[in-house]
Amino acid sequence: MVSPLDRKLLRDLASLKGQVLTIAIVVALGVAIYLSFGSAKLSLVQGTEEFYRSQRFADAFATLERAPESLRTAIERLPGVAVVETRVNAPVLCPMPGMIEPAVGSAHSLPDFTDAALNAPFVVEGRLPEPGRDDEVLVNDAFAQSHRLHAGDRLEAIVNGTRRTLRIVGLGTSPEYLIAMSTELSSMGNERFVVLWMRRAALAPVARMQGGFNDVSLRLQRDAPPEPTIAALDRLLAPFGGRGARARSQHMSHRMLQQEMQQLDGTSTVLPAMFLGVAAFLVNVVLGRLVRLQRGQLAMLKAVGYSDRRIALHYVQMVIVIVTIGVVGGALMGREMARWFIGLYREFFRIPNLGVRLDGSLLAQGAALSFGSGVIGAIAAVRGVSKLAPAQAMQPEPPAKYGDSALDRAVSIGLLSPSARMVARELVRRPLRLLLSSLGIAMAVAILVAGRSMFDALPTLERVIFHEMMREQLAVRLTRPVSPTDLSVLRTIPGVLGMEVQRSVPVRLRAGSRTRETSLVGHPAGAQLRRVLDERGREVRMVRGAVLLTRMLGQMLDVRVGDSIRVEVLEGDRAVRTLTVGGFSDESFGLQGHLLLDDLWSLLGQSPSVDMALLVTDPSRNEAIIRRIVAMPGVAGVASASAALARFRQQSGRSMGASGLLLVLAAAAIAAGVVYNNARVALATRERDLATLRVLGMGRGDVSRILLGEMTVQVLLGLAPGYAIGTWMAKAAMAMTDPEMYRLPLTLEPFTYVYATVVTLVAALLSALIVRRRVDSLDLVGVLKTRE
Amino acid sequence: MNRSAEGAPVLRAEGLWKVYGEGDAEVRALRGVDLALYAGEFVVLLGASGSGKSTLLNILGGLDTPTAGRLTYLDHDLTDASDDQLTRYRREHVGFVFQFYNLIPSLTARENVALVTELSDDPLDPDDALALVGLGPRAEHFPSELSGGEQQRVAIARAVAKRPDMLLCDEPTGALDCATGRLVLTVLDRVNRELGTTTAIITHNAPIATMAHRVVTMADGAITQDLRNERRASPESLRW
Ligand SMILES: Nc1ncnc2c1ncn2[C@@H]1O[C@H](COP(=O)(O)OP(=O)(O)OP(=O)(O)O)[C@@H](O)[C@H]1O
Ligand SMILES: [Mg+2]
Repeated sequence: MVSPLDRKLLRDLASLKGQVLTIAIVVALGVAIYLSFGSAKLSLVQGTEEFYRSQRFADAFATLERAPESLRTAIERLPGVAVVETRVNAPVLCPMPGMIEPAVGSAHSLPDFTDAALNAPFVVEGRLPEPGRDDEVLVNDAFAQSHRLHAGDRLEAIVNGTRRTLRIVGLGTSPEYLIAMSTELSSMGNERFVVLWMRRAALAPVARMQGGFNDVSLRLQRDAPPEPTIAALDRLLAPFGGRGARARSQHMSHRMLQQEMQQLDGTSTVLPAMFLGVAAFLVNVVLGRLVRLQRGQLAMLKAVGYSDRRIALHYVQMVIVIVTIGVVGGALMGREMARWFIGLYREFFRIPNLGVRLDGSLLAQGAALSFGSGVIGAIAAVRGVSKLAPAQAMQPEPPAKYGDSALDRAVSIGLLSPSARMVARELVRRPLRLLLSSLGIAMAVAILVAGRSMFDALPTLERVIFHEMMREQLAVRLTRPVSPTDLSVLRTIPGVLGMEVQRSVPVRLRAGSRTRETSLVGHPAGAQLRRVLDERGREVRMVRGAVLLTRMLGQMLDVRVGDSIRVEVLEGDRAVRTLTVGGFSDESFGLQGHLLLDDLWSLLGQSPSVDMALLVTDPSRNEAIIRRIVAMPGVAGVASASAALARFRQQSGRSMGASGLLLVLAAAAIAAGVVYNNARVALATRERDLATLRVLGMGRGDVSRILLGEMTVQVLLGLAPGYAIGTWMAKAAMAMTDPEMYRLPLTLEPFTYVYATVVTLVAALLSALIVRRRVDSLDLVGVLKTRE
Repeated sequence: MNRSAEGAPVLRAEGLWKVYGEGDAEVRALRGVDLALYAGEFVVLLGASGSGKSTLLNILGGLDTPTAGRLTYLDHDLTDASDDQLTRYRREHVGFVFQFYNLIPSLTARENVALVTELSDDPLDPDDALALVGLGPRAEHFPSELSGGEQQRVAIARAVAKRPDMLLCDEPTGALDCATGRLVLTVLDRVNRELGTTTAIITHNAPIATMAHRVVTMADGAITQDLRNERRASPESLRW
């Protein structure tokens, strides 16, 4: 037996279906975002944790020039060390069919007869190389996938300068390469980055490391702090060309993952809060109007003996129905979005078993938040019910009061027409609603501005990186430094028009008690191809005896221009010198120091040596040039700037399409929800006024303008705060990125604001048009016949 | 002083039918009503509740359209007029006064009147219109600050301010006590005399009929009586 009150509930909901729907959509989006981001994070956290555990991801890492295997026992005896794994690493270069530039990367050794004690690759397909089979390799699956390589295929690789034909026996991934990425921007992209795993007996001779190692990883004892062990390891490895040990927290792949999770945390808090806040407001608007409209019914219910609580419950039930629709829709939508996210992540983070994890508690939280905000929105609306004495409520509501506030009077002063005054008074009469409505619109605008801001940085980034900082056509990296005269052979290749060289060395910088491992790059005086720029894109000049630091690095070391800085070279003779800080540079990626080549050479105390050649070429001959270079001994990699630019554009374009659409939908839902509900409520409460105007001879257009004038003002007032909130959100999002890895300029293009404005206005306009149809069909006679 | 017989009618309804709903729910609100209103005439419409008075008045005023029959205003045929044409007809020629005053609460008395004067070519000054109904000093007041009778007088000022050819009033005194009602009727009488506006009033108070030129009575959707008053009573003398 359905109670009459429940029947009323259903009828009310049916007559409010447009409003029920728009509110439910806003709730659904909040829930969907909360769920999908939360579940993406959960998947990443759990997937990574399991992966780290099963593949024994190390706690500390170090590379060195070369140490005898016997040093291993000394490392094992260091305080806090639980497990030691020594490896042989070698640079790898793979000329791939269909690619102009060769892929670059590393080969890692696997213990000959056992599983790797640390950083074990996870075999995705095939098997590990067998001991004694010198040509067998396991290849990282991201690379293999992008080249459609499988177990059984052959792979031409130049390992440490030696060309080898290898047999792929399996594809794998490892916790060290969750993000398979080269440290060099110009070789980003799965198809450009290769990791090979070979048995040590096979790799050591090629790497000229028999009886020795050049890479060591540690598992620390439980609860041991990493710092003392790392410091001890550094001291132990120093004589062997140690390049500075790092804790897991400094590991590139791990760090990027952490950053991604931090951003997910931020987004999954801010966005749902915005949506649910707007939903609460809309519930309040719609329900508040319903209660006012149903005064007489309420009074009757009270008169016949329904309790305040029962009546309040009646309205709360209505909210529960709306929110339930939203939560169910949001859960379904959230699951799809989570799948989509995980799909994207799979391409980016090579974590096996990265599945969609939909946590019941996450759903419960999302639902609780939604119901909470819905009920909060309802409370204020329903509160008046209990205050109403039945007899009083039976009376028709007295004409709305105007003229009490100074504002009402103030509105009379201007030159406004009576219809404009109607709009103006209606607005000043409910300042809170105006404020909240505009705030809702501001949210929509902000989401669009903040969302697009990510992409605004791209053209600037592109210009700075590819046109101002890297101006060569080809960059050739060497496996080890050579004398500049040895490199001059590159100049003789047909099509090479010009060349500049560089030399970089790993160093530890020390200022006072602060230290930082990084690298110093030596530039020739008057370098034109790679320049050091400040934030305004002006070249920072290098002077003798001074080093330029990435601004962020300078801050980390707390040094100013003119301060002295101690430089400990982490290779060769490990010279220690003092240099002056000559200025700061503002590159977007990484942390490093720049100085003149002559200074670097005297720092090293060696004869001149270089390890990078930057070439200006005839672009039409690049392919042949690269083929020649790859065939030369000692080449670690060749990168083409134009290919890097194309990859950069392709990747940013892809992410823009999908997320751009998502943003538009989300913002449109908010804008439409606010405008549609406000307009419907305004129409319902003022139907009579509007009908009167029609009777007096106003056309449909005039009357619609009066009603929608109110919405127009709300929307317009929301724009400027929306720009501000969006800019702030963009800044906050930027602050969540890891500044040591990259620092993107926050350049909000005017177009972004225009775009946000247009999308919001269109959404608002469409919802207003829907309401306008109702204004057009106002029943003049019916409305005027009765007193509400 | 009976002008009602002079010349051609301003508004003529011929064989008006209005049917609501269909089948069992069918209601015949008007069944073939013929009525002519003449320039300057003051007509009172009487009849039992549900007899079709409001339906007729709404159709005459272009708020509603008949199911069948013809409606002509001067030489304009309004029978099949479009919504836009009806809107223009209302705007240019008709003033309405309702039982519930239907003032816009967010506008002052003057602004409520100005709402209409804005729409017309040759309106009264809003202040003159308010003075006509005796509310000059209350021009700055909002509806919530006025009594029912005062609100109704503002509504009348609003209706006459555009100098309509016809003033159609549906129970203008229905929500008012007798004394206040007399005041409103006095204003209507004055408008009729001073501006020559053709006026039709629906009322349930038979005594009011004595102030009209002509009294039309309806029953069951048809006109059953159409009488001329030999002598018109002054509104001040009415009691009900
Ligand atoms: N929209 C409608 N739908 C159905 N029937 C209607 C509608 N409007 C009016 N009626 C019917 O038409 C008839 C005439 O109604 P009308 O409002 O014209 O009466 P009235 O003479 O003005 O009555 P009252 O003196 O009570 O105002 C009534 O029976 C009424 O029920
Ligand atoms: Mg009636």
